[in-house]
Amino acid sequence: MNDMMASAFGYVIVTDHIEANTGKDVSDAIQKLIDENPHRTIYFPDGEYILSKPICTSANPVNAVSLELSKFATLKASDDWTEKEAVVRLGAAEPFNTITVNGSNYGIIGGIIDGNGLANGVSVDSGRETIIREVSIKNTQIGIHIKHGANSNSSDADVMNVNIVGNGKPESIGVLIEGSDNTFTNMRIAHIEIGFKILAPSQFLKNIHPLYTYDAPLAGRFAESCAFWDDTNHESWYNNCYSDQFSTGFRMKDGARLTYADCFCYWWKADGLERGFYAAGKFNSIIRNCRVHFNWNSNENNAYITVDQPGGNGIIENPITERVTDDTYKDYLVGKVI
Amino acid sequence: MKIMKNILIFVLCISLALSAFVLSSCDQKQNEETPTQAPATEAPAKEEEEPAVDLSAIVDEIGQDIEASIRDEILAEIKHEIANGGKERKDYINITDYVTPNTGEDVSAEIQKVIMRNRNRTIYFPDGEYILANPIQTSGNPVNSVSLHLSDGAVLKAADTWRNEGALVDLGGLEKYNSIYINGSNYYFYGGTVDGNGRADGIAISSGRETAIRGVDIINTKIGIEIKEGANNGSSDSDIRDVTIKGNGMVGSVGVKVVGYDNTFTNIDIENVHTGFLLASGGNMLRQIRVRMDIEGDEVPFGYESTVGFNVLNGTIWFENCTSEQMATGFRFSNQTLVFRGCAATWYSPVGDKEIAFECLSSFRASIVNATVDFREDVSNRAFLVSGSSGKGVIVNPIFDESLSDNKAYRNFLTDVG
Repeated sequence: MNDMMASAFGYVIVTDHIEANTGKDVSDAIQKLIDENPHRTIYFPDGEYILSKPICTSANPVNAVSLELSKFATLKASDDWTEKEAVVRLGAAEPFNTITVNGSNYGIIGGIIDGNGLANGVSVDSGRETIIREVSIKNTQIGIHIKHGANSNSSDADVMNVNIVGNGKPESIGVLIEGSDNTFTNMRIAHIEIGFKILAPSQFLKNIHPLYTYDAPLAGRFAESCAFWDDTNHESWYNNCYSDQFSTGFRMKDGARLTYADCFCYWWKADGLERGFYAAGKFNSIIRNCRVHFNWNSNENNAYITVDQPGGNGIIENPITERVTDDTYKDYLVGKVI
Repeated sequence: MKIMKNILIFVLCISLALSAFVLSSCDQKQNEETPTQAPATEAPAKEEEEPAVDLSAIVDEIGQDIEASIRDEILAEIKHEIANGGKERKDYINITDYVTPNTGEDVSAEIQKVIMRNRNRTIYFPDGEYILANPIQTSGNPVNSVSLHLSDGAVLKAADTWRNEGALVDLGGLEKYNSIYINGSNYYFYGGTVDGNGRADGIAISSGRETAIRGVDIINTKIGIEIKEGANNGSSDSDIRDVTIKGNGMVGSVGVKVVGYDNTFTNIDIENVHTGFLLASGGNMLRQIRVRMDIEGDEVPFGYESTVGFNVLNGTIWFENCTSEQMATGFRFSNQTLVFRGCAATWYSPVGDKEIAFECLSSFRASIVNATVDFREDVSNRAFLVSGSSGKGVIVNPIFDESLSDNKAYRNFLTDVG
């Protein structure tokens, strides 16, 4: 937006204080701006802002800010970035837990977060109901990291309309989740080894599309790749989630009670094991109307599901698949194969 | 001369872009319906430091080839950018700093110039009407991309003299490109109204990846939105949400036509079209889409018998909470493996004598779960499902008055999942 609009909205315009596109580190200056303007929207016009360390916002509603970036405003990690953290750390400046004080809902909207192959993108370090929207995250080891939630591990964050491209390095992750009760909608993730890694329960994932790519350095890691790695016991829902060329689409823990509906696994290149679902133990989840489409040139190692332990109470309802070489799915079949 | 100037500006922009940035390799995707081997992948070149750009040669060359006044304009712009090192403040580009709306005159060339001269910027259109005799195009190359942001009262309208095929706004059409690695690959069209004036299409996505269209009202179009063949081996990965489309009501009009793969569509309201969604590719996910025919009085719309809410030609597609209202056929498909969850087909006004909720032209392989169908009682050609008896598809817990479905084909596929 222009001066007049941003001013009319009462935004604090970063370039009134800091020069963009200098190639120099402006992290201290931006942090100062954030710290000195509680309860304001900090607006970044188009341009590149180099950061040698994370910028942190407060989770205390009294001191909270929202960050709004114009579509081509880029927060980029400097070439000498050494931190093991994200470029933007929401709630990190002052951990806090409340939803009853005005200002508790804040977040980051818009723009480009560039990890420069070194940094993570955005983290939710504290606070409740933090939002991340319409952000393009590139070149990160971890695109978004939702840490242990402020409310007895519940973070309640909401992430929507975000595109993530990782740095393609081993163990790169699109979204790492350690807090519970978050919602994720409409995301595309690429060039990572694991799309979503979930370590806390009660997540809702809808329209999430991770894509495995063969561009270096990720090439050769197909066997380790997994679109949705869930290491929790219960209560996460996957709806219209699309594993695109990962060796394993959906991985679940021993005995986990998860729900997968209308999901999709697809391979456009034959490169080894093609597995839709994997239970690392007993299978106790629900898989409903999920399609697993093997590559046309794959004639062995085609598994709709594999389990490490037989038994389990899980069900596979009306799966959509063909050319399956592993019969494990039949033990859990309800309805028929379409 | 104007055309020549625009071409040279374009060439110059490309030259600048190529001298400063590297290209990324393409992701590999395949058409899921045609099993061909994906091409070999090349590792992306390492990102190089931006070299010192010596534009003097380019400047001299331009000086030799074009009309003096145009040359001077371009040179001034280049020199300004070099002098500032790109450090000047980058607010939105306000289009009315360059173009006057509400004149009734064609401003497409001027708008195109602004787009081409302001790469990696947001171009903002304040309230007002902007007449376009030719399409405006943006680049699919992340280095040259722009986002277009229209105010609520801004209208891009096709001129009465519009003679082009295609859309008023062509995203990625200026420079076809395929990359998600380079900053700028995610760009948007947001807000306002796109008015086809009964003769143009609305918005097309011709190239690029992960293009977003949001919050726009598209009216009087032959095709509201067209997603063309995707840049990534057919995959376009675009995201469309919160859009209303009102077609020109003519036979052949389409709300959304989808040729590229792997797109998401959410919260779209379509009316006054012959076909709501025309889907020719897979990997698409549709959620909360409403297609309806507006009926006035007792008059049956022309061509009613062939109207379709959602017409699938190809691909595996998911439909959740999608509704067809007053279209002769709600959902038409062949032997694709489709999933319909919580969808509906309804008729509530007197129209033609045809109410088909689901029509399968081949072997039935879809899953129809919890679909709701409301027929009218004074119609003789009603069916929950029209299909042959072959196929492994399933119908689970449908919600409709069985006595009103004249065709009982659905019974072949009713499935109890316990």
